[in-house]
Amino acid sequence: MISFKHKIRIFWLVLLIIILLFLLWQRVSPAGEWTCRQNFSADSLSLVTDSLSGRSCLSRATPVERVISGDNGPLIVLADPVYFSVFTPRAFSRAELEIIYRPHLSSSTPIVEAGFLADSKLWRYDLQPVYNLWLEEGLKDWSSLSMSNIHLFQRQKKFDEIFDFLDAWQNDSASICATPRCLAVYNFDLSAFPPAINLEQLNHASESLFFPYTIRGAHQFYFYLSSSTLNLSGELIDRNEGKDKDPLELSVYNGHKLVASIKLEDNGFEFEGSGDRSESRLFQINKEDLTPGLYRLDLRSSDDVMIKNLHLNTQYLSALHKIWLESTDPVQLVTDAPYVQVKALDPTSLQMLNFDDKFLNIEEIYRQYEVKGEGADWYNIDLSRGGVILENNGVFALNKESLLNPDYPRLDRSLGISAQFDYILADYELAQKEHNNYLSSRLDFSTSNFYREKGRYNLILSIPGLKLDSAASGYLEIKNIKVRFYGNSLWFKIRNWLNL
Amino acid sequence: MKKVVIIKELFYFFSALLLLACLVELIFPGLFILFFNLAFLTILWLSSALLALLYVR
Repeated sequence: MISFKHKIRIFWLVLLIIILLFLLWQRVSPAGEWTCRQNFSADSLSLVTDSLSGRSCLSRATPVERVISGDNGPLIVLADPVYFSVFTPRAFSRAELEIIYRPHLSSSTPIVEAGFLADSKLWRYDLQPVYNLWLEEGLKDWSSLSMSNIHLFQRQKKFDEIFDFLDAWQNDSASICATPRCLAVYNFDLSAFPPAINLEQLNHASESLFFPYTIRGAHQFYFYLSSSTLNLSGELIDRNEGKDKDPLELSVYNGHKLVASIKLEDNGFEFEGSGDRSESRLFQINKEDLTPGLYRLDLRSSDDVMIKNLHLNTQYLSALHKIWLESTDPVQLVTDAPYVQVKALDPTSLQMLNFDDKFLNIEEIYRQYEVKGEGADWYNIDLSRGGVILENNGVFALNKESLLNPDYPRLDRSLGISAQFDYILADYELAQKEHNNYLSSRLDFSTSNFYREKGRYNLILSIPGLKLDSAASGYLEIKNIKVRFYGNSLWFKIRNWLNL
Repeated sequence: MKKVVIIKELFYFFSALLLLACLVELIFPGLFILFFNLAFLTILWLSSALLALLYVR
């Protein structure tokens, strides 16, 4: 006969084993699926039950000052960007993100994108479109063709099929319109198509370029080689401010093809985190038998790495989207985008920026400022010293003679539906209409290589141009976020192990 | 008598559950706290400890 004491002990031990098995089951996720759902408009009863249960798999939105979350109202996003983290018990290979939202956006904030952190070193997110005001509402007067998620908008109807347009663009874009920049794209890969500039018109007066400014962190450059030889050199300095090692990887691509690369490991002479700068280390890439044409240089490193005295045997060299200048000397650059965002990281870098005779006073560190220009092909940027990060959706170059941007104009807030565009090509899934003017968008990600730390993926929601101090830019209400992850099931893994 | 046994076993159960929580969090960070509110469990454990102090000699 079991005593009362033993009965009760057996009961709680069994309960404990059930809890342990439940946790193991969740950890393994044998079905190969995991769903994380957060309803921001939950009723008060579910809020009480939520507070007694565990944490949500979706973290709170940060920074907190960029959002308002009521007791049972939607999450209101007031500024760009906001970050979440999503817990998963194990890594998965695919994620389906579903967002139910109500946009209150304007032409200065026409785009909502969401994505996961793909590369923690370069702080690069894999972003996909959630909502694009132009594509949803702004092109009603244009003729549109759709094929699955591919949309072609024509100012004046000339093509009856998207294939016909792509075929014509591939073979003879000049016959469609005078300049390749009459085509704007959104989330559409045109890398297999001719670039948005006429390479035959490039000038090759000089075959040597010296970049006089010290740059810091990861960068991407476009350059044009008129010969079959590449001679690239520069010097690396490690600031040793972070606690991790600081290798530098240089890769040169022709389209998607890697043609040359080198990796410089951290010399390890100084103590990481000490702030002691390393000696300059020379690096170079010399490669022959290359095809003359467009190339991309990827400098992959942490923010501790500075590069100076960059030499290339080209006339054209342009930094793509971002340049972090570390020089203390005056800086003069040009850009092809009609705006620039600037952030100073050091009190000594606070200064007046001159953007094509429009002046911007940079008064606070770590605050992002923006200045816009008007209707030019390129814009001058003058700074009294470096120590700032310049960003936009175009390229930065030393002067207009070395400016090179082979990318097609992107349909975004800076360009909008400009008069120069006759065609717009987009890979975009139109939002589904829900109750009370809410919209629902579904995005698909391949998460195999995404960054995951302590069981959490980093999720970003970006609305470029949305700022706390700009009342006109609008806001976004989020009712629900659901992320469904997919991976191999336990049964699939067992069959693989047994080679069935 | 039964009351004392229940109080003692409750204390053992919550102690074991908190130990399990620590182990799971150590091996699989974030998994236990996803399903259980650790603060709530700690209050229950403290309550059971208090009851044990009051009623168990």
